[in-house]
Amino acid sequence: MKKYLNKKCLCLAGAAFLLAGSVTVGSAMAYFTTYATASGGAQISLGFTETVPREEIPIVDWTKRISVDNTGSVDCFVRVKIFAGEKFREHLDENISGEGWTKGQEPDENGYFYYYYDQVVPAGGTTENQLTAHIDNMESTEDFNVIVVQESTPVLYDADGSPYADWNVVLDSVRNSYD
Amino acid sequence: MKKIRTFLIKPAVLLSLAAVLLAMSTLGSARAALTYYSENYSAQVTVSSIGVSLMENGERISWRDYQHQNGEWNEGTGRLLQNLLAEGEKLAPGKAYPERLSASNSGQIDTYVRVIVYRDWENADGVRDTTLSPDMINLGLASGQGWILDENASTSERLVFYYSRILSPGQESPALCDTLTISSDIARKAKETVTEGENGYKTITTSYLYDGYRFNLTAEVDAVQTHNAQEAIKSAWGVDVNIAADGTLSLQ
Repeated sequence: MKKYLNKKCLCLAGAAFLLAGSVTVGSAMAYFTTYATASGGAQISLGFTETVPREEIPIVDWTKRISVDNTGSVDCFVRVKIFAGEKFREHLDENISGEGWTKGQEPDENGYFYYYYDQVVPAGGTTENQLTAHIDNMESTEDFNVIVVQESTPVLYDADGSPYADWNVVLDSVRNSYD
Repeated sequence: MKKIRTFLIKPAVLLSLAAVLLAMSTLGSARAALTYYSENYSAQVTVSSIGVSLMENGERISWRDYQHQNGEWNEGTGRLLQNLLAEGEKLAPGKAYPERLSASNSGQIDTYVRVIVYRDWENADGVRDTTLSPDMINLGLASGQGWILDENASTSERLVFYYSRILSPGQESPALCDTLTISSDIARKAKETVTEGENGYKTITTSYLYDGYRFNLTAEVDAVQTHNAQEAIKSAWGVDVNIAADGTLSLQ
């Protein structure tokens, strides 16, 4: 008899609990909601930068005419440094010039200056204006080298979309990657 | 005789208790039903027509609107960033592109809305890359427009914004962001190769680690009724909010 009462009691309590529960579920489902989604993206095409110097050296005026070709796939800025032997470098800087080229502010530890081309060099393009370096051969009969080193950095853009160069990307060129 | 009486009284008491319980639950549900039906009745024409649209630069991209006439959802899903670049244009890291995301109430009842923005990277093979920070996909957030960034719910990959004001039918919220910029830092990871040609010239080739990567942006706009807003938002979105007398929403 006791067992029967307990069973009955449990059944009734269970039924009451379910009824009460179902009331709560009903009110929880009464809120109105909706949503909408969309996705999209774009690929970053950084390509690669590659620059090759081009030099003309007419013996008649001992003037080296330098331009830099951008053979890479993205636009870049370029700069050039010109080295010469100790004997020939005394007046070298005074004789380097070119429209659209700007001499750097500070020399490197060996006293050489960078010359920066002001314009963006487009992929597949070249520096429209040449950098000229007149070499005073001091009437020497010895062979000597005037070495041109060019560097490039990809064009970056500020928030307004104006291009600028960040030469820190290239300064650490002895390493394989930049952090 | 005593046994019989006990036998009859106990179930009677239990049954009475159960009946009282049932009656109480019925009363409760009756109260809820009254409220429920009362709400439904007073707003039957409009309550069932909730709707929301995701807007990008003033264009409706995706939407989901309930149509009470036929009881169906009118919905459409578009693509974001379709007009980001002109034909043949390459994405320039560092440049700020116009990207104004907002929500529009395309239903017929007042709503509160929130927008969740997800951002991630895929490598050139289409595999998701979690090593590249989503922070490089930078949204220029608009300030003072009524959007609240839920910093507790946001991560580098997911940004959660709540619009603090009620959005009326037909109304579009101010944009939560103005611009999209891919950080120029992405071009800083580079590998340099130096080759010497026959003429003695050295050629330096710089290739980029993240060349060919793709960024993805997903935006989800959620809307909920303004009636009984605190409970509705808690139930639908799982967040606790305060609703001021003028309807302004703030996070708890």
